[in-house]
Amino acid sequence: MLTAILSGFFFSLFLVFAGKFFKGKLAVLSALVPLGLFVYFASFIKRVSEGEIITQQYEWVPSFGVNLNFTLDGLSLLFSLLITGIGFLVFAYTAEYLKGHKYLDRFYGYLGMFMGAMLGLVLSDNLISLFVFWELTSISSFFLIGFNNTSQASRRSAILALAVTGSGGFLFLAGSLLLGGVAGTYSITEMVNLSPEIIGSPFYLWIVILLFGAAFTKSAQFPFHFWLPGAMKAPTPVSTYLHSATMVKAGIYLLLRFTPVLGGEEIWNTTLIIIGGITMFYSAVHTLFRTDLKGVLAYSTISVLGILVFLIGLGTEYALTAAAVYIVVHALYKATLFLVTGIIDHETGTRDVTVLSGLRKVMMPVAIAGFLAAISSAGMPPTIGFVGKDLVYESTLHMGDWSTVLTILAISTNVLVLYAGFVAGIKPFTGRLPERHSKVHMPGFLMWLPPMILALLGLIIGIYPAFIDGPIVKGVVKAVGMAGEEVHLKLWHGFNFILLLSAITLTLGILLYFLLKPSKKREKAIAKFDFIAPKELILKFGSGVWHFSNLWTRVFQNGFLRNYVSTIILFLVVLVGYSLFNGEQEFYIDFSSFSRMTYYEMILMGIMFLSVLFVVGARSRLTAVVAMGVVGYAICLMFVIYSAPDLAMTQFSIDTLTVILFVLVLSSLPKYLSISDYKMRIIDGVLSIGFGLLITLISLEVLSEPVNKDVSNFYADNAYILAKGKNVVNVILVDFRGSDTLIEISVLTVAALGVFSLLKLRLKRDDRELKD
Amino acid sequence: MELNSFLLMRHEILLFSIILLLLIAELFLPRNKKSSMIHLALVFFGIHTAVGFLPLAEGSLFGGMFRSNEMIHFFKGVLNIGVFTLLLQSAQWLEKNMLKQDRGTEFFLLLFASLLGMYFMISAGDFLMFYIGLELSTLPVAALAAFEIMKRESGEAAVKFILSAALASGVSLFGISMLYATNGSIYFEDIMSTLTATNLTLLGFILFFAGLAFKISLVPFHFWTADVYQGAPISIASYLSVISKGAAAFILMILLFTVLKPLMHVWEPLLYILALATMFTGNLFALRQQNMKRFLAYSSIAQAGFILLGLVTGTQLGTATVVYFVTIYIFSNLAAFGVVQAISSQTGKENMKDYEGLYRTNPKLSLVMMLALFSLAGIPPVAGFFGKFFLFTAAASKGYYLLVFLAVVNVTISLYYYLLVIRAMFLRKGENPIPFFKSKIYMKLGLFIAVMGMLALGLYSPLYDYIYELSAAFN
Repeated sequence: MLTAILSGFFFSLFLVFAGKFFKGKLAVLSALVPLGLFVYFASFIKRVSEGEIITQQYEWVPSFGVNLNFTLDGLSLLFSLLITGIGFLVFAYTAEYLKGHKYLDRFYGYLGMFMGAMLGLVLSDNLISLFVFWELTSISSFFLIGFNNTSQASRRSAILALAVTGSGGFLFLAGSLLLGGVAGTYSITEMVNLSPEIIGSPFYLWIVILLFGAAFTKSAQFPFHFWLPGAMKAPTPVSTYLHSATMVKAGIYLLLRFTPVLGGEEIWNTTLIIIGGITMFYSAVHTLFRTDLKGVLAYSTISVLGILVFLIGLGTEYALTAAAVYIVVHALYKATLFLVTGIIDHETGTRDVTVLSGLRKVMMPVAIAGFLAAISSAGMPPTIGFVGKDLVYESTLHMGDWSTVLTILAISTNVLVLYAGFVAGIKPFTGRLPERHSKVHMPGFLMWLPPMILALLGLIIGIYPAFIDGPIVKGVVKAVGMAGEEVHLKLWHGFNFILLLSAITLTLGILLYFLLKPSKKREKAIAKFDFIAPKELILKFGSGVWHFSNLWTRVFQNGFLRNYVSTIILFLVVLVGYSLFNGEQEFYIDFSSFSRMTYYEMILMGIMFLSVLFVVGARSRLTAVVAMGVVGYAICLMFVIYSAPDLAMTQFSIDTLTVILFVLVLSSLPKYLSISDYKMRIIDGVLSIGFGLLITLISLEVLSEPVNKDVSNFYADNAYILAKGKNVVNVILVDFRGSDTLIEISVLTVAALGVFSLLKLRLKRDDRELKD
Repeated sequence: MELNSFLLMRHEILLFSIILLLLIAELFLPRNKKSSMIHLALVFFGIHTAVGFLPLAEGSLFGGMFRSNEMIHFFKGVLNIGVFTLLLQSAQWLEKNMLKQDRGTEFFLLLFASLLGMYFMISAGDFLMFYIGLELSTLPVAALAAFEIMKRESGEAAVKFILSAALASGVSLFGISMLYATNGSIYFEDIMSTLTATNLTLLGFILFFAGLAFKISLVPFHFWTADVYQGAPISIASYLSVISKGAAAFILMILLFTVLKPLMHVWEPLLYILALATMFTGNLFALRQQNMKRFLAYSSIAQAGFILLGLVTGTQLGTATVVYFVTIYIFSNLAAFGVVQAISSQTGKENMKDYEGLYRTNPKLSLVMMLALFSLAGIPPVAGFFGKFFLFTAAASKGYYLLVFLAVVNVTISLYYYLLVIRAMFLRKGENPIPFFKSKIYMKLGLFIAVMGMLALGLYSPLYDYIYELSAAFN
């Protein structure tokens, strides 16, 4: 199976090198890849339908439980067959549809990549590798949507689709991590056995929310549905393949896959019924307001996805069987309708349903395919659509108290879906052929044969539902944890209540189709409500975040170093202050150990205080520096008072030197600019007072902390004995650490030389602009 | 001390010899032959990188000031590859712009000196060696930031860098002295046994932490990052974001998990908050950037937040995932900066707008950039995904579900702005896209190494297992 998955990737890799040769007639040969895979998967039908589950395991990162485990059961098989089968037809169709396109090889490359990723997604048994493939489908979809990147709308849609589905993917990752943490494994098969523990865990609700987020974004459920109509800007084969038949069903696949693990709880069922119900009805109504064929199809696709979610929410065996059948039904008829739309677009150059009519006269086979697909979507006998719709009603009717509401909802949705199907499959072909389309001719067989095959297939398995019942549908039902004994697919159930409901649906739908023609006016009318549509709301939220980030950046990252520094200091004050008062011991200052203040100390304090104030208020740098020097001298006097004349001497000379150096440097700087305003000064003032207080507190605290005095004792004891010096500080400087002092002096000298040469460097006149 | 035991410092000795050799060569080479200095330096450093992978014994020197084990050795190897790749990517810029000013060799000397500082920093066995290493790694970078002396921004970047760095390292030294005051030793071995959470120790720890937070550009020590990256030459921005940050994150991890382990109840909540603040700030800032260097600066701030996510755990799993993540991050960011460098040295363009339509004209460069951005965003199957995934697993295994969830929210935000670049390259047409150009062989090789690193780390899992084995040394 790994080979099967990788073949898609190998194919696209191969195209990177040999793409040039595949642009012309040979392009159709690429359809052999999906065809081969289809045959390969079809060969498993018998074994899987007998209940066998085929597994293959490859280790990837075993230490994290991330393995490439592949499981082929009924559910995976259904999806694999859809992916490869429809893939085959789409690959062939594309050869004609994009004939002569400059980047045809790239297009096939993306398609191949997508196919591989999608197969990997439905075959993975490991959540993490499932996620990897999940994101790969989003990425390849991004490139395919953006393929027609001449229009701005197309680019916008591509980025929107990737943003929505990609973010959903990360919700999936978060959910997987949580699920893996709770279950202790990433293997879905093992999770099925652990289902009671997972449901019982306190994280159950979160797991469900995260997985729903992933599934709803991928499968375009309300309110995340808006990316799908946008994605219809992609070339039609892409819409057919990704946005109707396979990729958008990945969310459905995920829900089905996790039904046996997480399902059966009220939160699971109710949420799915509500979201699915809203989606299916909301978007079905939307089809009434579209005139672009692909727009109609997009909304009816969303509607069907809603029906599928709704059915999974119902959760009975009937409902799940209905879902399985509906996946097949929808894939067959919707792919047909898309391909037919592609032909119409390709031949007439328009998809506007209000101007298209009578095309059957020029392209009969296409009209037949369109008609068959339309009646299948309508659920008319003898198509498979009829079987599917019956099962839906069957399951809503079994829902006890709510059966009436749910059935009415299902009926009205189906009426609208029928309308959409007819608009897309019948409307363009009936009526009078307008003059300007009379020259339109049939496309090559590569284009009209694929939809024909799909449409006929829908008819055949409608007449013989047993074709898919035993081999495929039963397998799906078993894979989602049901017995698979209750329901049997039949075209004809006799005259019963459900048949009556079907008849009502058909009558209402056909009436609607004849009464309500698609019109531009309605489309414009609904556009007025766009501002409250989920798309706009989410986009507004996005631009809100953008504006917020703008503001945030302007406030903090404004390019002024002084602001950066003050933020850092503020942070330190808060953090250090916090830790000072929240350590393991009480904050404690031993006031009793302080000596009494004398009057000359007070005078010195006063001088210091005044000169600091002077510094703050100074109008020129020079005065500020001189005032700072005064503070330094006052400190020196303090040392003198505490009988440390040598220290005072050192401090004196250092202070003098600093002031001189400062003056030297400052003299060549530009004039003092008043760059801070009043508010700024207040903030800075508060900040400095806070910082100063903190440092004071730290110093006082240090005095009462137990401090290791080994080193000071050593020097005090040995200064005289070893170095014959009575002044310990001096002895340390010139004796114990003599070489350090020497090196330090040299470094200082070098630095001083550097400063001196910098001072000498007067900027030349023509270098002036550098300075400005 | 045996002469043999000095071989424990093989990386340091070799690199130091290279610096000396280059210095001598610079003196004796005639002026018109200066361009061969670039080749010479590349060859020397290439040999040094290759030799670096030979096995090295475990042990310590100078009474425990310097130590080395397999993990440290491995990480030095990673740094070597990173710097080698970076040099390859910078060769063209050096040749084109710096040779004229006769400043080619200076670049190598300063860069190697800084790298030497990093070696000492991560091999430090006491706080003094650590501090010296930190300073040695920082100071040359300030000179390098101002390397394009004819550009005003370059000078501004250097001033901002040196002032912020001085503040941070001063605060850090203050913290170290407090730790010394309470423990009576600066040796990691000794402190480990005596460290208790007294008020003064906590103060010391927090102040000390500030120094490293500056290097990794954690919020709120991140402000310099964007301004410096934008002003400095691309190679230096790349060096700061890749090598410097990687080494600092590595040593921070070692210190937290060994020496400062007794304070775990303090740094755990601290890192928790900083991780969130850093991720959100980096991501929100990155959203609106137009200049590619600024953009990558913020993205690298956000990435630092993710690193903290792994540090919060304090387990062997945490060690392994952090080292793994950092290694991947190094390669991914090198690839991204490499493309920016390639384009800038060819055309001088550095804005996102200039990248519009790049895929049509230069598909290979765009693909490299895309892989790099996907890796940074954590999109599978590029290595970055596994890096993030393992980090999340490590954090989740300690029960930090909320943190992991918020991190995932951040991944989503980041996805958006990484996509902006990809959109510009792949979807936009651009009015005058950058014309097709062929990169020099060095640049090609530099990008190739980065891409191979990204792919190999992601797809070849024994590499992770190897890192996991090594990380037992620190737990």
